[in-house]
Amino acid sequence: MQLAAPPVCAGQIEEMSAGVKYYRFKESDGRMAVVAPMAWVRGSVAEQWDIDASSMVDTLSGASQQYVSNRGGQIVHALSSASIRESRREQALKLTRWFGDDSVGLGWSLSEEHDYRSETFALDTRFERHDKNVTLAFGVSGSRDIIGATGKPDLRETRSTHAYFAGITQVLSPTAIVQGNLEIVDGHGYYDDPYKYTMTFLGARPTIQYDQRPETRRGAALLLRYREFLPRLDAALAADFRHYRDSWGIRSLMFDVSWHQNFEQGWSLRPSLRYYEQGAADFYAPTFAASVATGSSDARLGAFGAWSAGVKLRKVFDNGHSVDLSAGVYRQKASWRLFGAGSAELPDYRSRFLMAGWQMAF
Amino acid sequence: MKRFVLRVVGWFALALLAGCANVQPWERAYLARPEMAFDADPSEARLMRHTYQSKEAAAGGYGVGGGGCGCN
Amino acid sequence: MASKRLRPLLLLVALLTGGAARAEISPLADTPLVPLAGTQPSVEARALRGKVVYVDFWASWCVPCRASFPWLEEMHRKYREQGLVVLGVNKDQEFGGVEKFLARYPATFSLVQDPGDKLAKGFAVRGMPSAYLIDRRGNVRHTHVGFRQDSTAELERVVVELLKENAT
Repeated sequence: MQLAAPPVCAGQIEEMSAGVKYYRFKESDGRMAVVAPMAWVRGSVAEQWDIDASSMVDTLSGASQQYVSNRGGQIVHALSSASIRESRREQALKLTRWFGDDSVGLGWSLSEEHDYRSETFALDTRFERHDKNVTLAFGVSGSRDIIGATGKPDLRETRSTHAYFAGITQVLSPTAIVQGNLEIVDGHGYYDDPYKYTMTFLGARPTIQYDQRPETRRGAALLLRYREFLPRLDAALAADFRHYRDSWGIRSLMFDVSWHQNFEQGWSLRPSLRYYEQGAADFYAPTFAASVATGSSDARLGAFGAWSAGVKLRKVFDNGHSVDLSAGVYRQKASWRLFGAGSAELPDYRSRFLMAGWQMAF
Repeated sequence: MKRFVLRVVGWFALALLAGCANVQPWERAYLARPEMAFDADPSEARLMRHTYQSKEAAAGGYGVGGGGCGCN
Repeated sequence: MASKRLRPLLLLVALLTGGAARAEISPLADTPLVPLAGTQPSVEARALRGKVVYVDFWASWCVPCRASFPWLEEMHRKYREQGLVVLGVNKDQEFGGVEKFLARYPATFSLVQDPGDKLAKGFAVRGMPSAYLIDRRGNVRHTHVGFRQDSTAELERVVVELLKENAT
């Protein structure tokens, strides 16, 4: 859950810009495929007011993990036999009011699909101090989710989440800047995945454990971000590090590095590399000999390491238009976890993406 | 987790007290460059994070950011 | 630096002697003006005497500057005859961006560089862009940080007022 996207430049943006993005995502082994076009508009709309609006539609197709079974002695993550085709709509709107260099923003976002609805309201403020060498940012947000399931018409559960955010940005030199953010998330309600279950065979008849999770989840994320421009190379280095932990026992680390290289005529190339790992949730297990109150075999709650690599090519034209094309791959493997053990029975996961974008300033 | 949060708050306090370079408003040419923003392409960041969140348990920390140019 | 300490003293003297001493002398008086490469017209500090000077600190990377330039050009054309000099002080560190900026937002008013940040420091610039309005006697009478459409009415009003004043 994240607060709405910030403006690019500290201080009121004078220009309006708008753009579209086209995103394609495909998992390996004939699993999920997503196509998501998105449109956005952002900039100053009046004296002291900025707006940031976006809208996107995801179309998902393919099969997703439905159950985990140890039949025949091997752990298998079986895909549902039905191939789905669903669409999800997401809209977001943020209004920012400027008071000199400081600002207050109000954001709203809504995500809807046939069996899930999530609505969020967020309030954030930013203060610039020491000639804008230090920026303090604070935010709070609240989300309300309504969860249902196809094939379970009686299921209508809710979940409510609050997030609290504080961040500090410090200019280190004319070419370097660093940011540290802390976000605490506190949620209550329905977390189960109504589509998933685990079948454990000890004899002929399996024990069935439905995906059941605690009714609360409290987590904290610490994100450190660094940006440096190298004038002699006409390039910028970006590095992000995040540590996350929550009340489900999950601990995670993430490192994300990219190198933005500028070329003549407004061209740029940005390769990037990301490492992510997580430990398993306390109630995660691949098998359940007896059913328990909280238990899940969802791969997303297991322990694994993941690498992803991507590259983005961009061209900025003199008239203020720009086009960009990105592609990347993502791979998850239990044995790739560097700072702990992985959940050995987790299958490998692979996906790739393609993204194209166009934007203009006016 | 309470101890973790307290430790992080302690680090922030130290960072704030330490202070750093005082870059003048007119020296922000490089910091103002679009590639130096924390989320240079907010739409792209949103799409990527959404994808990661669908396959990973951890999320968050991005909230709101500062820095950038010395413009008003 | 010494002149900074002298200023409050001069102000005190001015108050006591009824304005016989000058106060808030603008840094323009002490600094030679270096024209921005490839621009016309150049300007000499001597030529500024008796004129109302609008000093604008700008840079090609500064987004609000894109809106300010057409307006400054308009001010320059409108009030030049009456004695207004618009002086754009560029703060770019690399000049590639300047050419592109000037091609899109042309200016016929004087543009200067600021080597060693003498002018920026002298005027204690706190944000980009920054405007300093100097009267015919060389005193800084009005400052404005940033630029938005709602700033222009007030800035123009101050310009007109200062132009009405005498040089002595």
